[in-house]
Amino acid sequence: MTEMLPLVCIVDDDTSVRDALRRLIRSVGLRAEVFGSAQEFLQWSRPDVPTCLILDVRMPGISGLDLQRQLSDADIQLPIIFVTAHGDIPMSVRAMKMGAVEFLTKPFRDQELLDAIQFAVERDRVRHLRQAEVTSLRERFESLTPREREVVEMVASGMLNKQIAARIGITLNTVKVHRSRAMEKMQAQSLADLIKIVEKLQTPARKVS
Amino acid sequence: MLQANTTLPVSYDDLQVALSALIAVSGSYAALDLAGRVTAAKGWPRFAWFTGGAVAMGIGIWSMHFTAMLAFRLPIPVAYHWPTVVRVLLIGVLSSAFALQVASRDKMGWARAVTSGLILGAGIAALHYVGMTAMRLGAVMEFNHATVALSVVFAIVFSLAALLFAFDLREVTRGTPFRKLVSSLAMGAAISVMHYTGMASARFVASNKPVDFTRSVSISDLGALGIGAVTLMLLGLTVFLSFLSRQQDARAQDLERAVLQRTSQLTALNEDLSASEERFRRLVDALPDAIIVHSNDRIVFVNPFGIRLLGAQNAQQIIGKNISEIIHPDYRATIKSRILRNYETGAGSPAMESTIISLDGSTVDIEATAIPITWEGSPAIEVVIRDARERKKVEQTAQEWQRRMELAERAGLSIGLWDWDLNTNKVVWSEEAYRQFGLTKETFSGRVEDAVAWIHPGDRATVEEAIRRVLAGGREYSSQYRVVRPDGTICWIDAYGVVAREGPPRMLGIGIDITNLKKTEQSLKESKIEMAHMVRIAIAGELTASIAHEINQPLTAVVTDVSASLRWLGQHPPNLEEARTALTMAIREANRASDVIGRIRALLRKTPPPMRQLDIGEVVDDVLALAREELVTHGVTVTCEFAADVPRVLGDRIQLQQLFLNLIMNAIDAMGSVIDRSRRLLIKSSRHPEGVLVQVHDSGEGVSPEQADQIFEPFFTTKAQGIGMGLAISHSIVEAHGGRLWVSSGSPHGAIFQFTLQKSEGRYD
Repeated sequence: MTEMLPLVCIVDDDTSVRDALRRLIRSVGLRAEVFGSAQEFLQWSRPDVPTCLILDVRMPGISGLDLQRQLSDADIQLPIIFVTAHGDIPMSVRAMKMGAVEFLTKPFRDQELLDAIQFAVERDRVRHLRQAEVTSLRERFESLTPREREVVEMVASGMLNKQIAARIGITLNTVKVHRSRAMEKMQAQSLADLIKIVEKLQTPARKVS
Repeated sequence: MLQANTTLPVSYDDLQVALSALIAVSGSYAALDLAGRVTAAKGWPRFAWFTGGAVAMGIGIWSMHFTAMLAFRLPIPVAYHWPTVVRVLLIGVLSSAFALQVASRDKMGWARAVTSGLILGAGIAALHYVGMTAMRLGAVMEFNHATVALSVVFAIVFSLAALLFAFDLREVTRGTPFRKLVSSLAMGAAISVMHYTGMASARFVASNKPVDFTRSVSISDLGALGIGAVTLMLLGLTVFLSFLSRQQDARAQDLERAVLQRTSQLTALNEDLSASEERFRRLVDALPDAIIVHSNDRIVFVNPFGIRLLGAQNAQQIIGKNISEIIHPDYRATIKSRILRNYETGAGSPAMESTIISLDGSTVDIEATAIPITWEGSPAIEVVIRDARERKKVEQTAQEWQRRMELAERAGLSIGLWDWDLNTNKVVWSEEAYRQFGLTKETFSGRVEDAVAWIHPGDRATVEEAIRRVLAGGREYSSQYRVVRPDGTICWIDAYGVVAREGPPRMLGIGIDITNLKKTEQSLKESKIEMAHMVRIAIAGELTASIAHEINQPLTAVVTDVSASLRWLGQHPPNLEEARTALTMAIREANRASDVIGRIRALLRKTPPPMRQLDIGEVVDDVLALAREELVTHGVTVTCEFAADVPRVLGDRIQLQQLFLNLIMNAIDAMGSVIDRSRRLLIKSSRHPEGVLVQVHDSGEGVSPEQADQIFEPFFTTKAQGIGMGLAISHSIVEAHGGRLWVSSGSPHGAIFQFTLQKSEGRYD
């Protein structure tokens, strides 16, 4: 299952550094893609696999920090490891605040970087899985009729069948039919299950950490 | 009686044929000769010559015709109708007149020549055939038309030839007898050939018709001879007259030429005279000495300098005065006796100092020389007077200067005086001069060589060269040198001397002790070098970040590659190929880091290496590598345009790197505030008459004209943190390389810093 093999993207304008990084990453059995500039990376169509980004801070054109902001603005949540040959504290603080995984100063120990990659990839894998789950739940939710959705939402908010029937002006029996059909469609085993699913669906954009 | 209708046999008398030809040629000659006279003459004589020529020619043709007719023999008697004979003569004269008219013109074109030839030929032919009708004889004439036509053609062609010759012969002076003869032969031939061809065309057939002999005459042989003789005499006379006239003309011309020549000789002589007079006058006017001529004690001449010396406005105020009036009473008697001696002996007087009185009554010290001359026929004395005041003034000035110098010396200024007698080679020194050399009267011989011996070996050649120039006739001496005193201390001396050539040649001079000045200069130079070094350090400090980046990059690659290779080796089985690749890259990157360090060390090194042949492109590449981080941080795009034909330059790599670094850092700063356009830096090199031209063009704010003036001054800065040394140092670096650095405005914006560097000639390193 090659597609699911985690991917490490390296964006650095220094050819020798990025090639050395690629060689190091390949030596630990990960896939690596290298880019000479942020633009190059943005134009590339990313495969849908757990990915982490190694980003040089200073680059001609769009800098590493700029790229981080752009990705964040576009709601692309990739774990980022910054590397820089000339780092200062304000810069690293800013990067970390923006959600960077790690901020490494060149030259760095290989293990430091690999650990960071490991961590970043793991985090993206979780995010990836979560995202896949949410996607499937949403698909199920989409399959509900408008009335069923209404009923499910009211159930999740803690209303009783009777209250629901009174609120929307239908019989208690009809509410029960809608509820059981929705439970079936949402693949919810119990009421608690259904409530959890609805919660997940209500906070889709919330950051993983 | 011959049978009618039989062709009559014809014969010719050879002698008379020859006579006829002779007459034709003579007539032509006479006519041509007169044509020349016609051209030369004017008015009445011209008409006379013209008429004479026409008549001579006409008679010649006419006479030839009838002489030829007499040479023609028929077995029957022949008579001639005389009115026709006269008419024929008229035709001859008229056509001759026409021919002469043409021949005597100044210019004759081809068209005119051909027309004239036609008419003259036709005239001759007409004369002939009309002349034939004058014949009265017992026969009928029949003509062969073809031959008749041929005869006319002959007449025309020969006439034309004769006229063309005649055209050249018009100028009396240029015509040669030979050519005139040829022309008359052609003309004679025209007449004769026409005649005999015409006769050949005629056939005489016997006839029984009665012949009308009214008004006709027969021509006897004697008559014919008479005609011939008279004609020839007439023609001879004509030619003789023409000859006489020509002789006369030629003599008149000779005379006129002689007069002209004489006149021009006289004029030239006159000009020479006035020219030399003018030269002499100017010389006298320009003389810086006064010249006065007096005769019989009266002043008769004074030159402009003399007028000035005597305080006059013009010569009239002086001329006519008695010579004693201008001589100071003290000298009158002496000078009077000198003048008398001049007149008596005829010899001049040597220079003598005296005093004269000018018109305003003031006295002037002078020096005068006198020689006796002749002025407009009378004995006179020429006096050359020199103003003695100038010389005295110079002497006074020298004395004043000496006093001033003594004062200066006493005031503590270290001025040594020296007086060098060039004849005896003896130098006299003042106390200060002794002090400067660290010598005393006991230790210094007074010879120049012994002074020069104490001069620093490095300066000795220069001093010797300056002395050599003075000895070779120079007027001034100037040199700067170090004296190594006997105690080993150094004294810097700035020496200046003037050669005095009046009297025995000697040189007076001063030597100023400039040791302290030199020391200050030296320490200034040292502090400048120190400053330059400090600035280099400062710039290096600014660039530390860049440098760290430059070293960290390759180091990162090395560490990463080595780590990767360890991992490849740690696998089971080890991946040797990947490990080798990673290690190879690690070595390359390690070398790169080492290069960076080398560049930084070179930049910080204090002593600059010697000038070497350098490729400007390489220097720029080195600097761009150093400045890369700064350029990237500020978003500056760099473009390099190095012309292919740019020669290598002679320079100090480190200094040139610093120069570029300064200019690039300045450009980055200048573009710091640019937000509405791209920040571009263009570095160009091109061939230049002085070697290489380098331009650093930014797209920044540019430089105002006021700034351009002071931008290279030390401590001038527009930056908040700048110390204002970068461009000053850049300027001195370029100057040290024999180039120029200047700034101009870029188009459409920005500034262009450009400088020249000398190309390396030959092999240097």
